[in-house]
Amino acid sequence: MRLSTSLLILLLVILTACGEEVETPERAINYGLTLEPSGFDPHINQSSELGIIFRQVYDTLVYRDPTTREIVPGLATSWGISEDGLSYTFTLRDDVVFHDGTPFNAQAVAANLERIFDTSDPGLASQRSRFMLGSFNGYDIIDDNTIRLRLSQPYSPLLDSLSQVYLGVGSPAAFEEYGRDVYQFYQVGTGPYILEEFVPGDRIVLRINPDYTWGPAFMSRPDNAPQQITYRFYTDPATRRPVLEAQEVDVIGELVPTDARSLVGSSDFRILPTPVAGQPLQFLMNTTQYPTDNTTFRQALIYATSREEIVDTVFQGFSPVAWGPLTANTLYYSRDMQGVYPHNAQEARDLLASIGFEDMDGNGFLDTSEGDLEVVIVHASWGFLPETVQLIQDQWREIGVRAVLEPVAGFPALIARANEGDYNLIAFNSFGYDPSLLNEYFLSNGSNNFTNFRSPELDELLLQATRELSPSVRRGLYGQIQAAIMNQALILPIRDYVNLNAASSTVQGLEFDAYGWHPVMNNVSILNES
Amino acid sequence: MLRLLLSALITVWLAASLVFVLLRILPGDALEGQLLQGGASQTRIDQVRDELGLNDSLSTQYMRYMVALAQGDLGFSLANGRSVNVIIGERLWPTVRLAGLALAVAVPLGLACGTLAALPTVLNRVGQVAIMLAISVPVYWTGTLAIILFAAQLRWFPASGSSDWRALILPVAVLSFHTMGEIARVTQVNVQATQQQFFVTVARARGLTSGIVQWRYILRPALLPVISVIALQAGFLIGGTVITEMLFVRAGIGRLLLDSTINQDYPVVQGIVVLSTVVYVLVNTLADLTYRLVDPRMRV
Repeated sequence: MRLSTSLLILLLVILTACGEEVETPERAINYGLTLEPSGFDPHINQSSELGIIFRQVYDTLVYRDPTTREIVPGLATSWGISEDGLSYTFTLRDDVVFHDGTPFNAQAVAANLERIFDTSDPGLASQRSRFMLGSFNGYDIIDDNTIRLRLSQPYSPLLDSLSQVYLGVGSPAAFEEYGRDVYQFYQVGTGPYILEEFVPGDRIVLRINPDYTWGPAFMSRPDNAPQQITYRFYTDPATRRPVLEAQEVDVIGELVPTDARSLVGSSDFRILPTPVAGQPLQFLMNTTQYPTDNTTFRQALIYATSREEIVDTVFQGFSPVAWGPLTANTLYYSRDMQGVYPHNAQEARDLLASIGFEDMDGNGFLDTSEGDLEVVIVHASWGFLPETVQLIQDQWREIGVRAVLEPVAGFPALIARANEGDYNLIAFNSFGYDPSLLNEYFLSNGSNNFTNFRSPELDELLLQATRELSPSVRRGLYGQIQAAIMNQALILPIRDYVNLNAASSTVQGLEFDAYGWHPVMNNVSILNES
Repeated sequence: MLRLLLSALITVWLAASLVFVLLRILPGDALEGQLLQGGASQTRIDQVRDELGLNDSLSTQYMRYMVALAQGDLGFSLANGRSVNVIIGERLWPTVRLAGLALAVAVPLGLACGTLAALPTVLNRVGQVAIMLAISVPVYWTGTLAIILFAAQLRWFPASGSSDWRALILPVAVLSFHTMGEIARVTQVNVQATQQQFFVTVARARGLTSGIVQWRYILRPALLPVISVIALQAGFLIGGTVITEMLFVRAGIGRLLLDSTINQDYPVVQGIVVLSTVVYVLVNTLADLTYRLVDPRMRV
């Protein structure tokens, strides 16, 4: 008995003693992330979450100013676009060094492009960084500080792409030293913060870059900037508010809306609801599956849905109602979309009657030859979709449509279901500032064309808008595109995404970029608690 | 001994095969989602699947998996291409630490609680209620409650992190509370049953003090079957760490299992299942051996 007791005590000592005590500098921030992506290499992986961290580690050739939303100089001081839109010449800064001491120059940019297009590994990599470069087909190093990118056809989103973390410029020496699979643990950029430590599943620690003087004009480092930022992964939504209240995190994203509501007015925390650019929370309607193959039927479904009720109850009023295929803070968003298909159950009933649907057996649901009319909604389990579809199910019952809800567990299952094609509505969307993200969804051969809508006219509009360089012409084209999508009632938009960030009141100057996900940490300062 | 080893091997093989088949019943996998989301064309996806041998027949893939497994190679993640051995290795220690501590706390706690509930004292109701709660309330609920109460309201202990030993207190407390439930229940039942035994009555009749009767005549024989229950709790711990690690934002195998399952990253899930099976079988074999050592009747 005595032996086993002492063994037990020994075991306890070993298990508890091994905690590494980490020295925390004076001004440190704990930042709560909401999911842990499977990889963190911006050239290889694609999550918005990785950018929250690594936007601080990398600079990009150009930046998008968070306030004016214009493309502004970053690592490139200026650029010229050839008349035909096929070549972009960038003049680079000559005073920039990577965190490992490697000088930044045209050769470094070239090494990044080579790495992005390196297809020597089995290609488990996402193609996002490659995809974002569109029709890119080569580069020329003019001199140490000048590089020209060549395109095979005009591609207007190029500068927008180059302003994003997925095309952040990393150190060629680090690429040499670390293979594609481990570079994510040793990332080296030129940004305001340096990657110090990455413990998979646990934390990522950044340390301030004391030499950072080459930031874009909208960045200015305050005196009491955080010396260290520690990121952790709070995947369970219910724990986010408690850890904020326990002051274990200073900033956290994606609060549960009811939690955010209850923190409004608190003197210890600030809620920073940040609109996210791109597509709204939306359901893509399958135009090749009965009964959503009928345009009038699809229109009736939109009329029958009270988005105001969903926004009020599920999202606690933090999100604007979405009317069209782009959220209100996306480039070339069309105001004409506001108020199309407002909630009107009577209009919905009339439309359904006009195409011959009626309730023959008097059970409250419209009938087909095979029984009640059913609409299958496939949705994921995140993003408050389960709550949203339940409200929709209730609302549609009023017009006699029976909604069949089919939840799927994870992202791969959702994609698999989308490819099977046996659904009427499926919830799916992407984020981004440039509306060219619509191509994947609404081009006939788009890889996310889950509406299965195919129209040569819409294809031509989308392709033309991607090639066109003139902003005013693009704006006109995207106006037509948004109108066409809603005329056909291809989607049921619900709400604009709003990231419910919250921060401790000691964190000052926290703002997010135009894309809505990524904070500009170099402008943040910490108030001393006293 | 050889029989033990053989049955252990068969158990691991069955678990590995079962998880291989079950995972592939679900449509979709991590690779497809990853590539499609990044804008890859269907042709490119097919090409990558081909390169990785994912288009081969299930039996070919199964054979390849088994051959690699026999050599201790768990394969490569479909989500990021890294070696599963490395991925699991990175996160093994935090889980071992959490589960080990939880078990170390749960065993004495369970024995005490079970004994308390069985003996005719005023406190036996307390023991019984604690056992009932530990068994019937889900880890998820206790964990959330502990975070809200002890971290957010009272601020006694941190609710997250793994760099500081204080961060271990809440997760270990929650996990050990639930682990002790079954141990305490079996202890209680055995102590109660032993009290009815004839030799206990004889001991009392001999005029021994109730203390000696309780310690020597009741507790010692009653605690023997608890050894196998402790071993069985290793299985509960594996499941419990999944929830605990998620709630308390800890790195570890449990969270990795949860994430990989949702992402349908088969090789990682397979790797963790095989590892868990090995641990489980090992612990139970050890318990078997200990039992023989402790209980003279088993040596016959």
